[in-house]
Amino acid sequence: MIPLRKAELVEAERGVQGGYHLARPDITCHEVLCASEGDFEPVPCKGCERTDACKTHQIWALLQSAVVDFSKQVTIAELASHLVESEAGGGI
Amino acid sequence: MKISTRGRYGLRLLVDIAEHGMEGPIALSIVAQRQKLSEKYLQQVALLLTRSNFLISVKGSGGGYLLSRSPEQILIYDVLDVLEGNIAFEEIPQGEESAIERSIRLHFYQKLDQEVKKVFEGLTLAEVTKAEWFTYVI
Repeated sequence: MIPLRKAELVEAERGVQGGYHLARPDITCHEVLCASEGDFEPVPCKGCERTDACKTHQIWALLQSAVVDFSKQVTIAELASHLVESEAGGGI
Repeated sequence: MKISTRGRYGLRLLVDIAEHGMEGPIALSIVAQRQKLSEKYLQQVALLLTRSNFLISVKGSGGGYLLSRSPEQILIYDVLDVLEGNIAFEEIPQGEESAIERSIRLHFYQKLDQEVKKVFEGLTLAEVTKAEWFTYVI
């Protein structure tokens, strides 16, 4: 919970009825992964000095953008909506 | 999923062999020098790529490694899948799965895997080795 709070994705409420709620309705999976993994880099090229000459770097760049682009499209709200559908007997 | 050293080295090994394979079998010591990689580690990766039928090992003096088929017939996705054990983000649940886990798996990880597959669909070792593809992606 601490990294999520630091990234301002959740807010804490104190008190007897306290707990956590989402800070915004449009939080994406990408934001959560970045916050919880520290640095969401599924591919290993960051900091590599051979990047310009390396042909395989292009493959990793392709993979990285596929993963990042998609995880920016999916919101936590959307995942939760499937959950509601499933509990109502539909969805999933 | 996080791409491992094995994935990185393995792909560089295959690209190097695809580029120089017309000269005959390539010794790992040469690849190690060219790519500035550890020869010992390359041996392990080459063994895996031989077992999974991407490389052929040629014994004896002048021996080394060759691609098992033309680079046009080697799919990058298949190579990564072997090198990484399994490239998928989705993990098949062991035992009971909660509704939340199920929603994330089906609506995020499974779809993410489909996206990755789409990106790599049809991409061959030949295209990666070619300079045109290299400049095109930049």
